[in-house]
Amino acid sequence: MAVTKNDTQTPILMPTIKDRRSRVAMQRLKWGLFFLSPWFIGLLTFQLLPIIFTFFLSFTNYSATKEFAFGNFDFVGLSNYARLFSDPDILNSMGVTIKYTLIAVPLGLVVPLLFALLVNSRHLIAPNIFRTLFFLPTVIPVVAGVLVFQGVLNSQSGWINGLLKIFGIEGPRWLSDPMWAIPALNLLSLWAIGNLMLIYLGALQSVPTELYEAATLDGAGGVRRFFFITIPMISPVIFYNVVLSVINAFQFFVAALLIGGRNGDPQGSTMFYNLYFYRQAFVFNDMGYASTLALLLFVIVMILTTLLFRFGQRSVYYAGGEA
Amino acid sequence: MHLSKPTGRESSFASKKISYIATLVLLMSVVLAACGDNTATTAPAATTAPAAATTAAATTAAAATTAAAATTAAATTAAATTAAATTPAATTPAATTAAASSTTPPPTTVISTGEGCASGATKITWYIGLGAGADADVIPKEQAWADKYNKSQTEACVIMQVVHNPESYDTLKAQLAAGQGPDIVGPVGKAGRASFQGAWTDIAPLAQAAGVDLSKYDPALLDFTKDEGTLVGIPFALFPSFIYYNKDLFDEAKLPYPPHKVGEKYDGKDWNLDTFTALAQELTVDKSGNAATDANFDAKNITQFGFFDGPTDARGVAVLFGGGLPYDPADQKTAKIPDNWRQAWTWYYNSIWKLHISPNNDYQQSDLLAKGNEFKSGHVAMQASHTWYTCCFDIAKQNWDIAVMPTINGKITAKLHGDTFAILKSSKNQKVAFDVLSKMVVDKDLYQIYGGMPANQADRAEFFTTLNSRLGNNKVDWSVAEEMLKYPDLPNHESWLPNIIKANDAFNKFRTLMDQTPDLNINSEIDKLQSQLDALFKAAS
Amino acid sequence: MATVKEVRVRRSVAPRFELRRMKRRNILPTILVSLVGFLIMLLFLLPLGYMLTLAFKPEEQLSAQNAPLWPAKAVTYNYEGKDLPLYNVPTADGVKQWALVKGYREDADFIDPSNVNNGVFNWKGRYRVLDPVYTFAPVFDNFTAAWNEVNFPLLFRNTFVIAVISTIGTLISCIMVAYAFARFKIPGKNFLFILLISTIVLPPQATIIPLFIAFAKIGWAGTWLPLLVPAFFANAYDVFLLRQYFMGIPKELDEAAEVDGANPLRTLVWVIVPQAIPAITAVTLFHFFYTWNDYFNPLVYLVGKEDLYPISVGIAKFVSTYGSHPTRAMATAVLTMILPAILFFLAQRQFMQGVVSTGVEK
Repeated sequence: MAVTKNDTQTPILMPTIKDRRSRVAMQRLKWGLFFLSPWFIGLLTFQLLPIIFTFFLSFTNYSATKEFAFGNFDFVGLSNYARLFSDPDILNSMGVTIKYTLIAVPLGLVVPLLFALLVNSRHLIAPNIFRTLFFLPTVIPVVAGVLVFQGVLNSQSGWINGLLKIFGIEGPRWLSDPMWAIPALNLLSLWAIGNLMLIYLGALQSVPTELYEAATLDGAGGVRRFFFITIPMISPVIFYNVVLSVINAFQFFVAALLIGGRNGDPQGSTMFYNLYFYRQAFVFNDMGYASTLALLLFVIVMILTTLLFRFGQRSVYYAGGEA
Repeated sequence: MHLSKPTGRESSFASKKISYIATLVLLMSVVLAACGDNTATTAPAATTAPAAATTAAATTAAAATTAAAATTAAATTAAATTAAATTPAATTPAATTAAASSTTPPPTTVISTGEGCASGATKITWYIGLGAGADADVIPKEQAWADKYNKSQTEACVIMQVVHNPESYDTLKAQLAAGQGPDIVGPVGKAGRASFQGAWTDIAPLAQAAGVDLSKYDPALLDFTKDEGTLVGIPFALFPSFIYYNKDLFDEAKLPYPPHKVGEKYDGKDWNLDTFTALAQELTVDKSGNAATDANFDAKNITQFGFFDGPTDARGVAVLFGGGLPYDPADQKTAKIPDNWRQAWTWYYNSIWKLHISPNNDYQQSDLLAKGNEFKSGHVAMQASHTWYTCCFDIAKQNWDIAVMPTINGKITAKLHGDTFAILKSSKNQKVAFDVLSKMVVDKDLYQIYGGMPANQADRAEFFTTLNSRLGNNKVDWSVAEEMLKYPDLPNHESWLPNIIKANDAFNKFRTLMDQTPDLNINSEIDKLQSQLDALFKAAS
Repeated sequence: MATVKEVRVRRSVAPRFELRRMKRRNILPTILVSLVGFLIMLLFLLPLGYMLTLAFKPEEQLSAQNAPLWPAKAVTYNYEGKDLPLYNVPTADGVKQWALVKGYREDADFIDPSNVNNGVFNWKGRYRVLDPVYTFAPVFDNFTAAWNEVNFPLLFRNTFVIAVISTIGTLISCIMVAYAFARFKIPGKNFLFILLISTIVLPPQATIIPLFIAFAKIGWAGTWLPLLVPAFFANAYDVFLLRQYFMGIPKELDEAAEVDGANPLRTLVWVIVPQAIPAITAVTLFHFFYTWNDYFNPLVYLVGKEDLYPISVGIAKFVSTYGSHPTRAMATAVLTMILPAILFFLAQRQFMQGVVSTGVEK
């Protein structure tokens, strides 16, 4: 690649300092927009389309059993929105989603970090085998994972309850007891934790070793080193994991559908918000109302994300600073 | 290694530069190799197409070209975005890989979508997955049928689309929304069709135009194939239900086999609910070998069940005690659960949680019962199922036969299924699609594939002869099936209801509730269901 | 908190012998950490164990009563042309291995293989509670069945091509976009970033219909294009992750490069990217395996086009929750994950090496 000379270094007719500064800023802005362009083009072509489309549909009574064409649906004004206020299932399904999220987010935050610390430890024998095995469940197709968990969590023949029995504990009826179905799904998600572990691992590896050495010399123990060096240094990644865990938890759905079916069995305890949306869209053929539900989720998650970012701005340490 | 000295910035940049370029080149070569591989193997396919004069592989070639185009386009984008300098370096390994792969033999399993079609044939897409037919054992047979059919005529070219539950519903809806739906869907029952209410074409005018005489069918059968008054298919096959029983388990308990004829006694007793229940209790055994009739029977460790009411929803369970409709005959908007249904559900619920003769949901999904294939597991003595269940267990190896349904409240009810094939309104080739459909519904191979008794009585003898040839040493008394056809559930358990999708949903949910939940007050649960249905019926437009 | 600069100064005066001493006391922690790791792994891999044993079990063993957890074959004795299962039967003279001719509830007909001349005799007791004789015998039938009925070479090749192309697209576009978000002052950047995140908030089931309609209208349905092209326009997951890493790289590094006359593109390629190798490797792996496992999208766009199926769709006929062959389903799943597992095992080497060098040189 040819070396291009930075234009900002070419003096033009004795510019004033102010001019020069704004010229540099202008130049950097152009570069920034250039780097941003792939996403921005993609946003306009692929990503905004579904959002606008969903917004449009929320004012119609379109049912996906017919071709999407004018004449195959009517505009129904705000009636889909009005329905939101009189639909008790929204609150129920949101409750299920929140219950799952409240377990999934802390678990997804702590467990992969522990795993990453473990496989990052220089005291561990054969860490590469550990890493591979911990990562392995991530590459198992979802359906196969569901089959496996239906097997190991079965209260009659499953290995988990079999193991508990050895310790004299009678295991719960995981997948048919409304109280245990959500924790069972949390277990299932926890299994595919390899990605999060890898993100943490990368972050741990990027913490300058000197920091630890210096702290050790200052007399800091392992725990102090962990809380005063590791955590702040990997905080950008922790923040990433929190935001994405929340978004993913709110989108969790496929495994729930495969295990609990379209009715959110047992007794509606796995009726996630997205499953409820799915039922409206694909079971009850009410695309219009389903779109309204999708938008509501969109708004809720956006508010959550914005709040998280507000919080993140205060508590995340970026070695490179904010741009 | 954690303590290695920091190297000078200059040299570290240089080393990183090299490793980065190496990585980039490696990645690029992998892509190009992959692309090259693709074009290399698809190219021969394209050239052989014209060579094979009789079997024009037109569609395969077309598909391959699309694939090649797709990869090339993307590769160009990739190449354009990255530095051009890496490309020459990368082409060398790509070329060698491509050359190497062209010598490898083609894969053994040849995918034959649309193979053997005549060149001018109209493409008819056959969508499978809303009902039976998406099982790994069945797909090759369906494919073989499609291939044979395509070769047998020049008008139509049947292309299969197999999608597995539960994605089959979303996928079909995405296609319909884009105006790219399939032509024929099936086999599909009433419940599956209900999810696409209004999307099915009226068969009657098509039949008339094609000169197919529908009057040869029993009017009751035609009614069975109507959704809200519209004929959506031609009667294809009938799937009466009866009791599959495991002879080994009867032998072990030294019990006589259940009756094969209506009116026959069992062990000197009438073949009624009491006799049936008592028999099922004797055939339910726990881990220590105690039968459910023993005082120290352990319900937490059951290893063999007397009875399982095959996979069906709550309406299917209800019609054990006779057909019915869940609304007031005078007013369809008022839900009313018939008394016989109430009795049926109470009996079924108790059979799980009090008598323990039927497996609860956890047992059903356990390894012991083959993860939801109860009769196949060999640990269920009697299962009520339809003829189509012959698909799902080893009919040659297992020691089995079939028996009549017991008399309950003075009458026998053997619920009936009648899946068929339907044409979508959006199909652009209705005429050709109907032509294919009319061949499908009388096809002997398809009867075998789906285990359906031919709707046309004259074809039945041949159907059973072929079926018998697949049974190994087993002798199955098929007269039971024909006998049970005389006792269908009327009204049928899949009949139309106001707000049918949501109503079906409620019935599905109720079956699972019964299967999953101990200590229910079943009567008040039925009341709850009734008021739910009432709201649904009243909300129906 | 100690800043990086402070640390640098301190490190230069750090006595090296002290650190070497630390390294020597490693045996006890090694045993301890490895033991803990091993226990966690055992628990974590329990489901995987279930999956593997199932894949190697004959189908009959799945629901056989009193069968061991591992793949095993019932030991049989051939008597008059029939293979009869052996049971451990407690008798007055200790446990005997007899072959079951016919079992009943309270008695059973046995034959003693060590004393065949004795003929078939009746034994009082419940044969069901007896311990059947099994030998460890993994079977490969499930694998051969899966291999014969699923066109693995074709599926692997399709998946590989799709995964590699879309991963490259993702890498290039996401690195660029993440760099823009991490290092440039762009008006409304925070809003744009939230907008970026918002594109993943809508559930895929909500977006599939409009996207399918759009792709079908431009004739892309039934090709790989809907799976490949969007990858070249960045996605929120990977941009966000990379941005987090980029922001963690000290700014002095790129400032130094720019003082040396590098333009932002050169800075990105020669400063930022080498520093972020772990993140980039992570993104590569994620996207690669995401594509490997992605099921819903390829299914909807490619349905019926079996020549173009990736592995996830191609195996669905075996690996479905409604399938009637659980053992074969597991074998199929095992076959599909072997290749990604090997790839990961090899990739992580690269990953760890890249990481160590950057970790030290900061």
